[in-house]
Amino acid sequence: MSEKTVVLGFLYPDLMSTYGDRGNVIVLQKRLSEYGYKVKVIRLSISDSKNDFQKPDFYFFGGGQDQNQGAVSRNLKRGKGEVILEKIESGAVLLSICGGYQLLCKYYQPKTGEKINGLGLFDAYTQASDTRMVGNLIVSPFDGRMGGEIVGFENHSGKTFLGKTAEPLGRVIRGHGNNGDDQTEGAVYKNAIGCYLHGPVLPKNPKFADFLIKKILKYKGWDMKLKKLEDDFENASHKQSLRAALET
Amino acid sequence: MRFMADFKLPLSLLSGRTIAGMILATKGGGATAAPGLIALKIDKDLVRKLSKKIDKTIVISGTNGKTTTARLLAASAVTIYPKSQIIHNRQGSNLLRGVATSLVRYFVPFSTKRARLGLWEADEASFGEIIKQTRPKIIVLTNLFRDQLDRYGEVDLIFKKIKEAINSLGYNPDLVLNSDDPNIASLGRDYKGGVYYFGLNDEGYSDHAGAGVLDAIFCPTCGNVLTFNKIYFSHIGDYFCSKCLFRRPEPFVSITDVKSKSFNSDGKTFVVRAKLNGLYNLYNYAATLAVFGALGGHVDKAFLKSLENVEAVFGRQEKMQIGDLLFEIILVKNPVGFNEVLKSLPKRRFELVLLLNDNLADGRDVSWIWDVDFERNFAYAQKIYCGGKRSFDLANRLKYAEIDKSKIFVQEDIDKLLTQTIRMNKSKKNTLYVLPTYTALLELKNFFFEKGFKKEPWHE
Repeated sequence: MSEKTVVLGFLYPDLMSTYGDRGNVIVLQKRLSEYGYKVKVIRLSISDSKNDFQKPDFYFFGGGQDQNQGAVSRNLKRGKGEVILEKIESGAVLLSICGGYQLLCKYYQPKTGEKINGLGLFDAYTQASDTRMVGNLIVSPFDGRMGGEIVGFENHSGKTFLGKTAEPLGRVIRGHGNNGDDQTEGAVYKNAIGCYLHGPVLPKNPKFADFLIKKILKYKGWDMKLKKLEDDFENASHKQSLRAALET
Repeated sequence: MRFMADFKLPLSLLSGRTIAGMILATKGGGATAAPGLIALKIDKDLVRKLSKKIDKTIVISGTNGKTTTARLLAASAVTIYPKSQIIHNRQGSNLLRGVATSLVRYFVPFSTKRARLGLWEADEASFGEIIKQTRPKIIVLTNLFRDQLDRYGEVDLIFKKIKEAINSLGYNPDLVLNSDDPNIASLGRDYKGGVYYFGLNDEGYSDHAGAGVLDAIFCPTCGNVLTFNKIYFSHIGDYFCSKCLFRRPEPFVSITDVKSKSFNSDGKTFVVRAKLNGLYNLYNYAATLAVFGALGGHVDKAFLKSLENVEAVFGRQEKMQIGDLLFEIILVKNPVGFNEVLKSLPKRRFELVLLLNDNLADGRDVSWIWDVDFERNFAYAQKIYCGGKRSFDLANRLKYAEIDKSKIFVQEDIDKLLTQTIRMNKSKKNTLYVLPTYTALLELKNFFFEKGFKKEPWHE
């Protein structure tokens, strides 16, 4: 009997993992195991090959400091970026946060100097600003299958503006979201999601985590039914975070 | 006009001292920041002016270790200077107002009184304005880690600001630097003033951190990725750059054996019977020894004794005995510090209390607990109590770290949690390690004070 294995790809974990974002990978790995699947987590960074970047069913792309983002951007241009784009077109799943999200948009315009090109996965661009968008963030997702409001924490000064063909992740209930002006947060393209939700987001939004898991199972061509997990701490953490967000 | 008397300074001193007196009379403690704040409003050059009346000033900054290092220095400085002539912001306000408060409480208007030594612990973000005003003879930098990104922004940015602040002084103070932290060590490269490095030279010690909490792995000089021969924790270790050949400098004071707490200073080796545990604290002792060297002191029995007597610093290994139950409190602020504290816990059964708040002083973003290596350091913990405003974030983190759920107890209210742990441990000779974030520590201290377990909440 063959074991069903899911490959989770952690993009540039040594450079793009500010503030606990790796928790998202830990959560997906553990939940998938609980659901009965075998999980392989692979780290994909500067010295890994284009072929390695092909392997994942799911990609995680976290945030990083500006200097790191530059190094990653240059590395992606060596064909690895194309590999990721092709995989997304074919239905692979991706979650990107903050810096990773920005690198997947069309470009990033710093305050002075040339714009830095991104992979263009999301029809959006980011403009550097002097506004610090820091604090608890509550989003009401447009896709009803994501399981209700998503709560996290944002910390960015870049303002992301969505283009005509872009789909936002959801509407901002508390906080700034993409740019603090248009009440949108994040972006969605096929099975790829970008957003500014640290937290990290998946541990305290178990329904959102399961939404991503179902997408992975669908991509693999497997049955998407998930057994019910206890999720007592996850739900309590979700409630506690919502309360903290609403109090500020 | 030059010969007109300066009335601003005495007025600010008077106001500050009055405020301090009022606070102390009504609260019985505190007065660590408000007096300075008011005084600065009256005379914004207060710190600069009063610093001229201090013979020597030392400023200590960095992410972890500043309070402990400052305390070790304060304790050992009395072997060289009279205690009554040392000013130190020991009660923890490490912003400019904290420095101002200490000054205002020491100096009297219109007096010619001076001080021999000023010891200032400086918050990384306030470092620039503090050194500009205090003009120190010696600057100590312990390390630079990711800490409270919502307050400080990125590590690179803080480092840049620290570097610029030192370069803008107009003179070259002595620098006491951690040789094992690439960013900090790079400040000594091509530096025109005196540099005293402190670091680890223990052949047998090596711990390749699995959690990968790497904050700075680029060469601070040329931007190339740094190569590490050894990593002790996070980005602290023995490193070199294959491009520009920048490498970890040889320290003036080194920790030669972690287990026996042996040090080498300027050629001499000796043991320090240090009461504070963990590798991270040995770095603090090493920094203190390096400052002593920079001051031109000789390590003698009196000096060592003074270091060895330092027991517990505000929230760092403070002990509280309640009946048969012993609480040991160790403040946690960021992933690296937390990991090092976990590693320093004894290899025998104990219970743990984790308190996580998300107030401004704790850092409002609690994501950092996912960078703490709970997966590896919990074999001996029998029970873990989770409390504070984000108690469930903690519990959830532990669950995903594969810690047995039956060991986890959650109670958000810190007072209730402590009452519960005391009740559950009645007539048991247990040690409870309490790891709180900053404001949780204050709540903890208030709890003990109100229950009558400790004399004064502000007493250090």
